[in-house]
Amino acid sequence: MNKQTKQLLNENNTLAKQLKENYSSVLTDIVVYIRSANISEYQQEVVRRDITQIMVDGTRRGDSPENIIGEDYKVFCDNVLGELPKIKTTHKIITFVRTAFCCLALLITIRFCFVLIDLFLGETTWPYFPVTTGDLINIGLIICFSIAWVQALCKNAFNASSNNKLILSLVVMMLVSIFINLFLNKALFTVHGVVVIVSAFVLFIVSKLIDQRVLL
Amino acid sequence: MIPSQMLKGTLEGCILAIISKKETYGYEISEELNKYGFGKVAEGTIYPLLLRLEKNKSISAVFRQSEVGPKRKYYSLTDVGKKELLTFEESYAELSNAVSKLLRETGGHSIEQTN
Repeated sequence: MNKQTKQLLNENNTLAKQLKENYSSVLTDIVVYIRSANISEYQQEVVRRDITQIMVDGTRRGDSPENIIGEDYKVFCDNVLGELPKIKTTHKIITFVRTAFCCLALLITIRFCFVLIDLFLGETTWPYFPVTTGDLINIGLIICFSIAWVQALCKNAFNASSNNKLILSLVVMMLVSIFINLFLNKALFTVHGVVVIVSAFVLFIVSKLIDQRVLL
Repeated sequence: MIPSQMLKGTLEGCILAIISKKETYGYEISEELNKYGFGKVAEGTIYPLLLRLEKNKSISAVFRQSEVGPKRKYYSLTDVGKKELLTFEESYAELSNAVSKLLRETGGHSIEQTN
């Protein structure tokens, strides 16, 4: 996220604090839905600012969210999103890479923590990290699943009945991940601890650079 | 109450006409429409149209401090918008004449019943 978008995001967060409870929950659903849209993060914040301002005005007048937005919030969002410029495929790919790098850095750090725990328990290969087939499959699976899951969650912001399906899919994914780690536990290669932590750091920095310099 | 389907095609032009009077904001446009007999048109209906008009460069927006509360987005008509409004006025006059003529010639049943 670049500086301009971040500044707008902070302004929007401050503005949203002026909303009453009934407006806040509606705005949250609207913002979550907008997050799944095929528009830039900057455009998301611009729209969020406009809608929040409309709602703050409505709060002051004592109007209800339905009176201001209309009965169907999803239709409202779709009408708004229909008027905004869509991001290009290259932008989408870069966004995916940014998120994947950030997730990868996080997963490597978690893995590093587990090896540290093993170190204290005395069952360790320190300073070398064994990488199994299960680890590699799980990394790809977890990153793709997380991105798809968040997308599905946002797309269903107005559909409360989808919550159970989303929770179920999360549980299934966790079980699949555990089984993969249990059964595909043959070490393919080992990596030195320093390389692991430097890799996580580099991936995190690259994801931040993409965020600030490339994604506008 | 004007049916929403009937309103859809004309609302954009009507919003341009309201903005042509003076620089204004979403809620004021909604109130003006209500005053002219359009019924309650939610800001949620107006905002996407304002976005479209802004995208087409028919209107421009600036943020101004409101008397109460946070900054508001005020819209004003651009030169493109003025031309757009003229086109709308001509098209609407044509449509209105055609519909009036048709209803006159087919008897205007509902109007007669009302009278």
